[in-house]
Amino acid sequence: MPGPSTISFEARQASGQIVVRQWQIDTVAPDELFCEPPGLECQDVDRADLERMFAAVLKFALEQLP
Amino acid sequence: MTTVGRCREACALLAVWFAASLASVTQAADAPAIELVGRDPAGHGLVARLQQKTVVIMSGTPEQMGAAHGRLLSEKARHLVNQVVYVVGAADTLRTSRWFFDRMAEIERRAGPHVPQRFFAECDALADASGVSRRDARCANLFPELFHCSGVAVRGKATRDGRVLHARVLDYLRDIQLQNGAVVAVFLPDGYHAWMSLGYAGFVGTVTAMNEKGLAIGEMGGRGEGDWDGMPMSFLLRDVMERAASVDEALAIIRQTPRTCEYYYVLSDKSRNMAALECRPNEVTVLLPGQQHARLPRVPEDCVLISAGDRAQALSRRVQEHYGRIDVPALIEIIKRPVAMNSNLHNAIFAPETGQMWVADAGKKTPACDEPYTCCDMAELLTFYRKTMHAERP
Repeated sequence: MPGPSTISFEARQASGQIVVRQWQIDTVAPDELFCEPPGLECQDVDRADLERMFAAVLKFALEQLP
Repeated sequence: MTTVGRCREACALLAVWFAASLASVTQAADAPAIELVGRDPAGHGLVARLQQKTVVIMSGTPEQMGAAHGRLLSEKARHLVNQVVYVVGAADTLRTSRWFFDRMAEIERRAGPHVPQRFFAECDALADASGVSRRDARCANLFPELFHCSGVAVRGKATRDGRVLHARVLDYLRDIQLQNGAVVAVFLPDGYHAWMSLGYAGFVGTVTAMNEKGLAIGEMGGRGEGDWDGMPMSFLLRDVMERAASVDEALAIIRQTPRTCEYYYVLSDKSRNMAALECRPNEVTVLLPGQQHARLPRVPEDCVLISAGDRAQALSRRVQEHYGRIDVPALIEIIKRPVAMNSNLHNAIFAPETGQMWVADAGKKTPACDEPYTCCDMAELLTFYRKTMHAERP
């Protein structure tokens, strides 16, 4: 594997471990990877709002780094 | 705007405080100087520094005050709106499994008819002047605050000199650095009472305020999320500040106004009247000084308090320990942890009889209760504003 097989994290009130089953680098990603999981309720939302949420959360997370 | 442009806008949030210069105004020898930082070019506001605090003062019509607010604090307002709408909005979406903007649209649809038009007019003018969309500015101002706070007011036998002192502890969202946009905001609206708020750039409502008539109020959140058919709490408190001159007048406004959710308030005024309120959309319960309640620990004579759990126990115990000797420094000690939570965003101590408000905001890693306090004197700030703006005229 080109990356770690597990990623552990600890926050103030939570901890967990992410298990990486497969790393794909420099490969073509099939469209199916970006499809919503089957069987879950879906809702169309404004793309710009969603992107601003991601940006704001990412910036906030980076600000928390020591 | 392109996606890249939007992301860049969202990421470029490091506050660039606009050029500070200009004059300082001489104060009484023992009072900290108020330093002028910037003026609204349209003549309806200014920004100043008082010790380490940013003070913004605005006057005029709702449109004039909103535009002054937006021009004077544009960077901070954009940052605050971004934090509340997009960071908290993302968390709220995950927490509720409902798209945040759909929830906000529902709140505006249901609460909007109960909001005085002057508040939305000011909010929209603020948005236009600061470069925030009107929708986002309204979302930030309507966001349902679920605070877990404490409040206490003491007088007579409880205090060292008999005067009323009132402490307000806001425990909420220190982690998302709302304190970076903290301001002491002074509003001089045409036709209404002048008042000051310990608030945030971009917010036109209040949760911590005192007016020129010597009426002070602090809010504590409860349950009832989803009961949106009334005036949002932060606008209700602003309406109280602008129209009430006493606890009794405030009570009348709160009773007459359609209310949302469940909120608790501690009020006090310069006549040494004070009360704790438990407000739901369909009822208001008033606790008078010394009145006991099944959900509160012992409330001593000449005291009202609102808190919950262990924090309420600690608050009651400390008030009793300091009873008869409570002054501002003692009250600052009384509301330290564990009365304040680790999320303590800001604190205020009001002295309604003298129009003074001591304020502390959270630090980057520290709760507000561990930070130094700044004394804001309402009369001094109003005098400073009038002199400065008068001197500006040809």
